[in-house]
Amino acid sequence: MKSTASNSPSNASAAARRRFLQGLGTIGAALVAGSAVLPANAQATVKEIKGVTGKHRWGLLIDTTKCATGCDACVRGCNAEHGINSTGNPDTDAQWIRKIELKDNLTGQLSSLPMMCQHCESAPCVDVCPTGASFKRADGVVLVNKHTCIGCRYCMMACPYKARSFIHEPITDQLTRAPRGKGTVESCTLCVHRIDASGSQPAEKSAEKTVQQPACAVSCKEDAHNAITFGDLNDPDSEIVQAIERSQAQQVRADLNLNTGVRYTRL
Amino acid sequence: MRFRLPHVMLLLIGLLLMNTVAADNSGPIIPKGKGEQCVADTDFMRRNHMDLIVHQRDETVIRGIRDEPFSLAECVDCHVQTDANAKPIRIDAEGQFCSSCHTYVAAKIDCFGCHAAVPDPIDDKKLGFAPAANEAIEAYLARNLAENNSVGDRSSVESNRLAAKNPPDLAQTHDALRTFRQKHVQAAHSARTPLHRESVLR
Repeated sequence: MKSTASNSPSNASAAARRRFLQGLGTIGAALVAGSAVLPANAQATVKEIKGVTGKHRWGLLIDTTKCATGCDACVRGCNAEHGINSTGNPDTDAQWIRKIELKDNLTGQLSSLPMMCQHCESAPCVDVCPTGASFKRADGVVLVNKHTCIGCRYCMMACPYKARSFIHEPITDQLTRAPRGKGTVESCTLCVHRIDASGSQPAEKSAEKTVQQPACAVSCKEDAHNAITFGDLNDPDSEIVQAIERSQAQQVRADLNLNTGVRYTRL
Repeated sequence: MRFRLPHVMLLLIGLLLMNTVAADNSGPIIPKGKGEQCVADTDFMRRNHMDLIVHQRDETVIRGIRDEPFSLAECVDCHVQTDANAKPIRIDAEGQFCSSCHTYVAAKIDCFGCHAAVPDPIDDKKLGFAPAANEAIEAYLARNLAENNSVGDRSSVESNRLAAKNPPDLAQTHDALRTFRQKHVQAAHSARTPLHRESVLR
């Protein structure tokens, strides 16, 4: 072989390269071995993994034929559930649900509906949030993580449904289940605390029947209107999916392709 | 200007003396909570309560886990005091559990700008929450503290996003529990200095 003194520098660099490549190989082997071992560990801990999953997607169906003009039972129910009281400035008070009256100018037909966070699958508020505070939970509930919300209100601008409120003034007397405070944005949470409380009961964990209804749906039912149905949009046999299919329920601004979690019949 | 070793030593000794004197006369007076003891040892809680709460808050908000033992609601439940009319006093009010220490060490907390500082008048037990058993607490600590002390990882934007996308892998082993004990509980036991002294020195 022609190994002369003149090309020894290139030999040295080749050796260095070889060492480097060997090092890479070792790292690669370690990675492969690690990934081969990982599933065994993962299997052992599968039972321990808690928290929400994408198995369910929670949503609401509003039957506008049952929703009564002038009735605000859902709004009152929501306010009581989350400790939302007027600060004395109605212009800036938080609204998680607001009642809307619609009039068709041609037919003169009036309809009434509650408007709240539509829990979009591709939520614009999540897209624009600079801190990641506006986020979608695995089960489809769109929330504000107020710990990281900086109150910039981009999400309020982005929301096509005007569903979010900014808290302008200090709040006292919050409820344990609904922390709320000045300088953050908030909106309908689909009563996550109720959903999660149902999930923490070990028996029939995933059965839809055991999931507590949101406060608005309960209030509507108590007022004998029964216009709000809550349920799992991922379950084809659930009451809500059946009703949506039967009534050909629509999304508000379906043209935006947001795949909303809140649907309306006879819009 | 140069600091020389004797100067630094003198300064440290001075601080130590000042602190000892102060601690003897005017340490924070902390109201006693309900029951025999907290969810973990007092020493452990003094050093780590903030990490536990921060960790729990991410678990709760992002992953919807509300039945773990370290909720802020339970802090309030046990440590809230009542006034002469048996009305609960805000836990962040002057001289109350949170503020007594936090005022002393000049650490500002803003938990109660949003969170309820008194227990709910309505009983939330109807929502299906139950007080945590000791085993649940140990399991939780092992799961969440043993691995690289992940509890102390304050959520940045990135970790927040990541956590929302990939829930952390919860490895729970006996080894983990042992490591955790060695790392935290025993250390807490062996450390004799009360928290307020250490905090002032730091």
